[in-house]
Amino acid sequence: MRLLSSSVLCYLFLASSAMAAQPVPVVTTTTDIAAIVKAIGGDHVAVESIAKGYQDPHFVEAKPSFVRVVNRARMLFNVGLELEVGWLPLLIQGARNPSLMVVDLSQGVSVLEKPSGPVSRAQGDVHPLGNPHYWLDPRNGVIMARRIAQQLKTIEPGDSAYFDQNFTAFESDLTNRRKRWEEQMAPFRGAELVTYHKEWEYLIKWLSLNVLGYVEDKPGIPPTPRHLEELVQTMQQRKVKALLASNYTNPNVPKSIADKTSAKLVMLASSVGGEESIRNYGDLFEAIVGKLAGALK
Amino acid sequence: MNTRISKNVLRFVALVAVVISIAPSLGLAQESVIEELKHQVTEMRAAMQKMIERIDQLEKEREANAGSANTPPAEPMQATAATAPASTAKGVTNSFNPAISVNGLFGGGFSSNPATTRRLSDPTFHNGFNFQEAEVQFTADVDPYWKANFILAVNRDGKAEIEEGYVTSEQLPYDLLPSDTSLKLGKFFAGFGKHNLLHAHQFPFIDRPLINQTVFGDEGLKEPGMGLSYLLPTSWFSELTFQGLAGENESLFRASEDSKPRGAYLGHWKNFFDVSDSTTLEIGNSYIGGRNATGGRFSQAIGLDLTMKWRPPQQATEKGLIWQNEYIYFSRNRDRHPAPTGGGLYSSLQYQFARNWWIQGRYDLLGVPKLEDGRKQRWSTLLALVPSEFSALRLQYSYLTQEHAKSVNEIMLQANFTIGSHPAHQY
Repeated sequence: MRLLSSSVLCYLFLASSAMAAQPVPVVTTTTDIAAIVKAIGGDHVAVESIAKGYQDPHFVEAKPSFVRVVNRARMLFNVGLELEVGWLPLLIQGARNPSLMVVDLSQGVSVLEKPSGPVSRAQGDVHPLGNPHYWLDPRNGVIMARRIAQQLKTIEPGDSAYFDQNFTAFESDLTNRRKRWEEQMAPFRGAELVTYHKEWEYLIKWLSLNVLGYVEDKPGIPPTPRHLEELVQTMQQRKVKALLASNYTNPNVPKSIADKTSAKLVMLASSVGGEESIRNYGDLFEAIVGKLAGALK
Repeated sequence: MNTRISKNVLRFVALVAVVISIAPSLGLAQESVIEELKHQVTEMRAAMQKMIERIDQLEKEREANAGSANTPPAEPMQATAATAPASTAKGVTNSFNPAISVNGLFGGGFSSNPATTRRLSDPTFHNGFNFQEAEVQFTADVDPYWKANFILAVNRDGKAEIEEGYVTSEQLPYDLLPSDTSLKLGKFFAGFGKHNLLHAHQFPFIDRPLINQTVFGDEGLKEPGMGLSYLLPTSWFSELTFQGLAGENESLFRASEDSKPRGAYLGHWKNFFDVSDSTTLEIGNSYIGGRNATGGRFSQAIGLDLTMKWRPPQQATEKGLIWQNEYIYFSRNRDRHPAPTGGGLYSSLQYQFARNWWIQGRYDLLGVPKLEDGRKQRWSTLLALVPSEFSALRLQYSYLTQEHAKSVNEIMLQANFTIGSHPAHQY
């Protein structure tokens, strides 16, 4: 058994050193994962994301050109929790790439809002496995990065030390910056706000903010006028300062709510690439925290 | 608890009865009376024995009833306590059940053509209200090598059929399947062009394009067979598909239930380009040919398709445009007759102008080259309200002009709903 595994390792090592010059093709479903893969894999990995940062990851189209990308990849990282259920299965099936390793990064993350009772589509687009927007907590970013490093080592064991080194650098940099963001947001602990979609739960929990309500009373379903009226009333009574929406949301409805209340509409990028200046995973929180602190002041 | 109380009550009542019936006699000294009393006591004893038996019986019944009433809460508790071992011991578990979804199509139609009062341009539509079709889909991995798909359709007459039932594979043991290749076996919609691959609930308009209906008939080209499709090593998406089919199609191969299918071959080349992040272009060519049921002569069809799609990723749920075009040429050779040939096309434009709304238009032309029954043209327009990806309400109007017949106006209304597992959306 040991002989077998060591010969397999030896073979993998030889294979990887033979191809050392070629970066490993890796595909990710979102830009956030791609940014972390880039941080860990450096120039030893060629990473491509299917979704764009300014796009709602629920509604990506299964374009055949993505089939082409998945066909050439050796590893695929995805968010999981059925975020990509409407498009990823078709891409993987169409790719005709049985040696592709698919890594669901939700494993190891403590998932919020896992429904405890039965779910029904009458509740809107509920995720039966829990809220999938977990990358919006930088502490989960570290969990994702650790897992990515582990998985990259399985296909490129020769680069293990390199990936480890990059992970350590990523973790310490992100931890330092996280502490700064937490200090910056400390005065606003417990601040009440309203969000459009149920996608900021991880961010809100991390920063100890308080969600008073959602514009969408059912996830993914446009709100009813009655719900909006009640929401506006609550927001006026509680003098809510901020209304959060991702920047791919149609701004018309949130704008009209902000106009009727004292709340500032904060349109946030929810992924890397959501704004031109957001080039890596840390940039994402830099932008979010900056805008949030500005609005809650 | 209750049963014990009631049993005691009954016993008490019985004893009281005995005591009451005995007591008056106690004061009487006469022998005859004593004799009579003895007799009464034996009677009483018998009655009491009967009563006790009856009480025991009642008690048993009550216990049985109480037991069954207690069963429902007790059972799930047992089940949760021993879920895993219990289910595997029985060999029954839900874990590997296929994903199931059910789709229903319900519609209403009106046609101005008195000759077609029973049937509209879509054969599943009649004047008035219709239950068009119900479709049940089952999907699951068979094992690491195969994925299976079964689609059962039940039509308005309650007739059920396996619309599609096939397995696909990207990998087989001993590397039997070359890389970048997928294999399909079973009964499926043949890979000809764009529209033929769609189920009724996926049609962009309520009815089929005229040319598809003319060449492949009311049910489309679905055949038992097998196919290989290969992803070419090009920088863009380019896919070659070859399928060997039974050749059962009633329209193209003039097959009937009595005739013996003689086999058919199909080829499809699909090319796909990203023009930008929001715009894509697809160009395809298709060919199908095979011997038909009329004396083994040859039937064939050639297709060209071109589709442009536009959807800005920033507004992926609110704006979109699809321009789809297909041209099909066909010939069906027959004995002693000039080969009936023909061709036709459709061009359709679908525009999503708001989150829940689509407006669409389609032009159908039949007769390039001309068919036996002359040229037909049809203009259709459709408005769709799409509350979610699981439901849609669609209203379609179409106007048909025919060379040898009267023009026809048609209105169709359709409700389209899906329940069950979340389906992935083909691009």
